[in-house]
Amino acid sequence: MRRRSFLADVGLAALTTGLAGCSSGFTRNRPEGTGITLRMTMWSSDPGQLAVFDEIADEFTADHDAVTIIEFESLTLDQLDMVLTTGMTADDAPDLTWLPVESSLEYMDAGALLDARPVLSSTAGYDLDDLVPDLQEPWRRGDAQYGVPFSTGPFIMYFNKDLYAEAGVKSPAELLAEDDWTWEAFRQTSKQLTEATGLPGYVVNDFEFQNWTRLLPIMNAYDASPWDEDATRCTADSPEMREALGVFHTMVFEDGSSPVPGQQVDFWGGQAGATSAFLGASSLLEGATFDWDIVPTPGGPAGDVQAVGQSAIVALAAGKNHDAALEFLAFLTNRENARRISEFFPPARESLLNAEVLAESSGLLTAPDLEPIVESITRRGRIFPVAPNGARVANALDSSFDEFVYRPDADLDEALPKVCHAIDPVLSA
Amino acid sequence: MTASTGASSVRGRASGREKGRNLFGYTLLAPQMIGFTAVGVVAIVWVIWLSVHDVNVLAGTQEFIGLENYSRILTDPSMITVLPNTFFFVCVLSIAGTIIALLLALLLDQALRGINIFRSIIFIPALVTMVAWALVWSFIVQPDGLLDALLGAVGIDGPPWLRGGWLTLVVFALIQLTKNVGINVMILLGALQAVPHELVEAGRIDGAGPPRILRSVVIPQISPAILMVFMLTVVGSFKVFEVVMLLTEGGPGVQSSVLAFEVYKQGFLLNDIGYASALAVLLFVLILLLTAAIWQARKRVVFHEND
Repeated sequence: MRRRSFLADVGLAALTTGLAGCSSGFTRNRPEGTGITLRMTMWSSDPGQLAVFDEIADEFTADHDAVTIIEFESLTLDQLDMVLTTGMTADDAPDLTWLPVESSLEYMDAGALLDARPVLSSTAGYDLDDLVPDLQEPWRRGDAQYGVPFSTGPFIMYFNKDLYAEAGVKSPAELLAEDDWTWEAFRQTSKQLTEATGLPGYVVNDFEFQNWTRLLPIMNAYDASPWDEDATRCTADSPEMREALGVFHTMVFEDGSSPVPGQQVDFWGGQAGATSAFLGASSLLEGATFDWDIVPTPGGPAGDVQAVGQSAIVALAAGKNHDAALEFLAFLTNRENARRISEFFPPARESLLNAEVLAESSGLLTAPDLEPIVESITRRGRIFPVAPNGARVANALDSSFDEFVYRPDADLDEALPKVCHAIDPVLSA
Repeated sequence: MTASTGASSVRGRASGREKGRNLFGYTLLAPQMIGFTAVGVVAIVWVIWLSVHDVNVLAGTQEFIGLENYSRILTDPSMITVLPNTFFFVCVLSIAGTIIALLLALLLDQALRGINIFRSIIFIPALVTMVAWALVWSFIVQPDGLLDALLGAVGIDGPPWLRGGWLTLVVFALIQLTKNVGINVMILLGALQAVPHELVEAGRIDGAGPPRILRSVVIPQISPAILMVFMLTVVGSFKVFEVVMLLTEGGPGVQSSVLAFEVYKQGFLLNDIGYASALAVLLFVLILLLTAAIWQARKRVVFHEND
């Protein structure tokens, strides 16, 4: 009897603990009250970046009684689509999100984004005309504006000065000074660096042979694009693409100066000569144990065309608090807050898009460092190509490149038509 | 008469007690059944419903398209690779997995000093999650990883283990097999230790050697456990997922993909919920049919099942 009651007590205690645990698991930890809770997803977990967004959110809630809490949910870029679509299906979508330009058409076509124009125009002191029109284009349709870019930046070539000095090879900065900064010259010096040090001369950051947009610096230098301007026909089998991917393929499979698929190499830890990455990645160099520098990515037959990535903050139609979300969007992207965010991401506002402002907010890079980056954005930049059926086209392209091109024995003349065969049906769908 | 009344009142008491016991049993089962209904049955019906619709999550629309998603499976070129890959895992993991587990169980069923250390070593992988196990293996089989370094030490250039083809499938099967074999060994070891000693002894007295005792006494006695292990590995091998996702994401192309991963890819990465649901229904039907076939076959292969 005593044993039975002891067991019952243990069972009751376990049940109570379990239910208590479940209750916190099934409900979001929010204070009591009727105020609005806004949720926003972003693909950063950098403490510095999160702190800036938290500060801006605190200022917004202090001024807006209706909104009591703003939650930022960090995830990785490759999880974004899945988290958003799952949230939409479960009627639990966030109110706002960061969205890469590659997804802009797909989301706008589906009517998944709210038009922010009326709120932006009516927000006092917003200064809509300060937004650089060319850089807003991917997010505008007629008079509507479906997102405000907070980050518009080209790929930059970061290089390890110590490794180049150790190898006795001309560094990217020296090639640039000699006016010989091309992918072909870079391929040669990368090969020499690898032969001298045994380390890869070049690693494509955040690529892992699964993210074709990371090859856009090479493609743009050769005027190659996977599809035509209307995004209706595959052009991945063009002679330009053949040349561009030929350089990359040689570096990986013939010269051995770039990692093969599956090989893990960390430039930021000093294991490679150079990498192409966005400006935001410069924070990874804080406390680096080697001397480094930055230059624009190399040119090619098409000249110095820089590949510019872009991300915007958008309000989702599936969110539950449209008005509050749009007001917060306007607050986040006003001139003052855009300046704070520009510490990490190049802005798309005329008044902020200069090397001095960027250098002032960035602790790591100086105005002379940033001058070519600003020039890339404003004059020599080409924003990522966008297809209407973004997720499916990107998957088909990554998958077919991986299967036919990223192989040691690949014959690009045969491989690239197969790539087109894979993506054409998806482009025309 | 008195006796008969007494008997009927005893029967009445017994039947009342039986009812009470049944009620108690159903009450204990209720949470599980409610959970299964809510999570299992509702989900299955919902997935079947989604599989006959074209679902656009971003636009929030659903359009009835009948069996179009199912006919798409027949014309989808990636299925020419994905379905054989799936069946490769089912065959290799269930047959090789059961045989290896049985051999290991026989080996570990010895009264030797320190045998528990070997039993623990075999069982340890079963204690870690599949994700952790796959990540450990990714360090072993990546280019210039541990395996390449070991081969390099004896002058062999390791092949690209994860770049598709049969080699990648074999690596995946090995990773999956080493992870799960411990549990199967434990199930079979338990069954082996429950084989009555007098039966083995009787066989020995009749002049049977160890192979004959194994074939005619031990295997028939543990055949229900063997069938259970086989059925569990068949169902489990249809659900190979983590290792594919973490090591190759099904690539290059779909060369190392399986049905369970395609369901995830179509549904969550490509937003094609309708087609993903049709693939999920196909997976469900395949598992159901194979399990039913094995269950029917048990009467022939499992000892006492015909009694």
